Amino acid sequence: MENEPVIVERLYNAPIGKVWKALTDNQEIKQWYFQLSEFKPEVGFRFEFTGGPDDGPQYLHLCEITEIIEGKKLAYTWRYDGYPGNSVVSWELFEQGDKTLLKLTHTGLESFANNGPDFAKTSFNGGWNYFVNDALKNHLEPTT
Amino acid sequence: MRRDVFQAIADPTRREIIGLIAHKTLNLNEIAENFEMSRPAISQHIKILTECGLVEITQQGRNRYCNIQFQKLAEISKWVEQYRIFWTNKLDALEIHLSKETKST
Repeated sequence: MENEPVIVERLYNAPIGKVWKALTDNQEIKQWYFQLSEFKPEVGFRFEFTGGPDDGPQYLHLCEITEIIEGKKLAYTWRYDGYPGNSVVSWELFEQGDKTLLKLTHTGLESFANNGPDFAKTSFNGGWNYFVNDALKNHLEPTT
Repeated sequence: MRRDVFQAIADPTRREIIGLIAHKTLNLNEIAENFEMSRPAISQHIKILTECGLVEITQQGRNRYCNIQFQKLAEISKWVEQYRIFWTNKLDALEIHLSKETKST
């Protein structure tokens, strides 16, 4: 039921090594994901970033790498500073000829349910809408 | 006291109860049979589910049946959907990033 994970898959027109680099090289991470002060693809490495709506509360996201299969899989915990609950985000890559299938899985979201409706609805809604709008803008900008 | 769908699903036993009655209306005893905890403990969880609006009880003779309230469940899936949208957008951003790189190299 609700505690089923969120799974999003995408086929990229890029070789697997290149996608892996985009996921694990901080210079590249900065360009499409989050601004991290440092990133090392090593189990136990911790990183954090702040996210939320422009005019709303900002949440400090705390992550710790739990699994690395070089070139194929990256997994880390994803939780919110000062709030109970913990989730896991995993990125898996599958080579498909000269393309790469990426499978993103986010499990454990129900553990945040305890944080209350304000957190669950208002904050996330605002937060995600921010990204939606932001990402949409980015989506329209580049010319192909 | 806080009563909403998010409190309802914050407890693993309550999530299991929701899973059971999502497919089929059951009475209190039928639900309790699936758990090792006492019947009063299960009743308490069902009471909370009722207060959260996720379950409605109907009395039929001696039995009290629990019906899931799907419109309330939808509130939860909407919340989870926010994450799906978020990740979909992040994967879009990655796609743009990868295509930019191709052009520059």
